[in-house]
Amino acid sequence: MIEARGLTKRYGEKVAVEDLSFTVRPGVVTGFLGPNGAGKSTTMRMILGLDRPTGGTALIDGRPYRELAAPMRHVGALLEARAIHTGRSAANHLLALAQTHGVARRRIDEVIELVGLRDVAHKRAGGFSLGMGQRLGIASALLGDPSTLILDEPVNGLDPEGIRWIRDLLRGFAAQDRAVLVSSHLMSEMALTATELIVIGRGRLIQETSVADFVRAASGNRVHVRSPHAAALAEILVREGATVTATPDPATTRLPADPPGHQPAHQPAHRSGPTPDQVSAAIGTAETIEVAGLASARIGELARAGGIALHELTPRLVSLEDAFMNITRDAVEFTNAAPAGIGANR
Amino acid sequence: MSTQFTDPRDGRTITAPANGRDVADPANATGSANGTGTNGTGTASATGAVNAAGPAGDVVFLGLVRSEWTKFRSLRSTWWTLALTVAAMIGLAVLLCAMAADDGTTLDPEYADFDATAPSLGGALLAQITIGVLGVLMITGEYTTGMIRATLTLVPRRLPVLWAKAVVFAGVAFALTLVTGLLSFTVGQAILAGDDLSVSIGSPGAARAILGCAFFLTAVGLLGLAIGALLRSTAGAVSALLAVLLGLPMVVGLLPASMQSINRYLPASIGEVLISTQGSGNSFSPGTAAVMMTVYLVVTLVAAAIVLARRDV
Ligand SMILES: Nc1ncnc2c1ncn2[C@@H]1O[C@H](COP(=O)(O)OP(=O)(O)OP(=O)(O)O)[C@@H](O)[C@H]1O
Ligand SMILES: [Mg+2]
Repeated sequence: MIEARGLTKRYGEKVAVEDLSFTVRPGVVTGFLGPNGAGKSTTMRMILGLDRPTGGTALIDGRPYRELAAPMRHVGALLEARAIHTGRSAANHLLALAQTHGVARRRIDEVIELVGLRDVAHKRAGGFSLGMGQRLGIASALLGDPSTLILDEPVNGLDPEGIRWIRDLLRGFAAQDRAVLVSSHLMSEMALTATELIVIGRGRLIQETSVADFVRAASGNRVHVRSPHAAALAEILVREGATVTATPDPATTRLPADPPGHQPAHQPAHRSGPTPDQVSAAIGTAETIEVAGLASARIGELARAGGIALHELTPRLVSLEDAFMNITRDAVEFTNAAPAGIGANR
Repeated sequence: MSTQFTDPRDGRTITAPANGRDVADPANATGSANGTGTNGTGTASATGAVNAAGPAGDVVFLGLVRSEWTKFRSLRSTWWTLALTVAAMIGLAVLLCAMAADDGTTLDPEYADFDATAPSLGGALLAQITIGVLGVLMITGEYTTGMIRATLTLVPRRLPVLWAKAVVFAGVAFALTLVTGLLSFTVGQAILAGDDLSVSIGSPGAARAILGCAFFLTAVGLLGLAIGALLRSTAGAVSALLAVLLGLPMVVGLLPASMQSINRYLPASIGEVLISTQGSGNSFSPGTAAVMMTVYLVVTLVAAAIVLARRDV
């Protein structure tokens, strides 16, 4: 369990984290998202007492990290930068960590086994590949069988088997009613692993929500509707304030991450658009339409009231990646230039 | 629906579910990866929980000393620098004593006040560098590799780590330099005996000089540890330590004669007092020298502790 209250960190002029408050609860995997430089790693270092906050506090199981008698029992951490002496073997590294808390040697063998490093346990960590180093870091985090895991980009450098292993590990860990805070830039992976989200940008909290709500909010109540009388339905829906567009081929159409014209996906419908007649004319004989601004339940009721049969009524959700990009667009510090020639084809 | 592959290396079967959510049991995933995983089920084995109480106890100082000893002994650089320290002390003892034996005999008047202990402990001049570097590496090695983050995450109070390092280092360095000092003395006196220049360990000041040598070298190493904690970089800390030990006497040597009295306060001069059997008129007594060295050491260690406690890692 982690409680951050008003965490702030300044490095000279640079404000890395500002007035950040959130709670990481046991029993769920909480994803920690934010563009590069958003302050995720800084926040984690502050929670672990490595960086002293300029303001605010972070509590672990109700107490400041520095006051824990046995930190290893409360938190297992994997930091962004490697924290392993290159000249030491994996086994000796873990032994040195274990001895600080009087952890038995048996447990060391256990975590070595668990992360699959048995064959290289007595080799110098300096010769480890990125993924092997990451596995050793995870072994270190698990050593004390902690009640909270804090992992900064744990899948960084892992092979597909390792990525899946981490996913299962974190979900299993949460299922045992322990807390997990994990940062990653791999949104597809995050969507599979986390159920709660903390999204920050430029050091500030953007959203603290569940993955489902986050995606739903970013999807802007878009509903995919198929009906033999789509044009007539569109007329009714537009009168109710919805925005309706024809979707030519439902099988292959995907909701774009960035709708043409750069309007946010959740922009509310407005009356100054085309009239219901114009919309129904535009739709013509198309059978599928996309409706924004009305919940699917309301659409269904309106269709029934209008005596219109529905063949399909599906709320459309954007991917976590698209949702993330939409919501953090304004908080991105380091944007890429579009590669030459690609944007021109649009 | 899932796809099966056979790993060409050992013929084990990997099952890849077609759907990302349809995942294999984590314990089995790891178990098959290395062949001997426990076939436990569910998530308890995913984290390898030993028992409800958990494997970790409270942080106690003895545990930190054990941990620092493990860190210390498990690096090759430790054994190299220790070997170099022994080699420097014994090697220089042989060399200096052989030269002294060549040069003169008891019949020469200038050898009337010949200090037979001095050449046999002369290796301390080189050994102070190797033992100092070892002290520096004990902490800067953690900063340069990032290990310090793991260390301080487990010991967020931080200062006990510094004290544990100091205890381990002092124990090893003092024991090693004391034994090596005795050895150097014995070997050196054996060489000098050929020319009747040798003294026994019972002669005035000999045993004290051997002890003083071990004390001084240990203190230099601890000074390196403290400077390393202050500067966090190996190159910076080694340079600073060498500047204090070897550079300062040179700088003071360039000052006008009226200021030469500063010289006796320098660690290098204090070391000379501690390692020789006879004081010169211009220097402190061995007891005072030991106290002064201790004061320097404590001041530097306290500075290191303050900085370690306050600074971000
Ligand atoms: N020690 C430091 N000194 C000065 N600035 C720092 C320091 N550490 C972090 N910063 C700054 O604080 C900001 C947040 O950095 P941080 O590493 O926490 O971001 P992040 O969210 O982890 O990014 P990424 O996704 O790239 O890992 C950045 O602008 C960074 O430059
Ligand atoms: Mg980061």
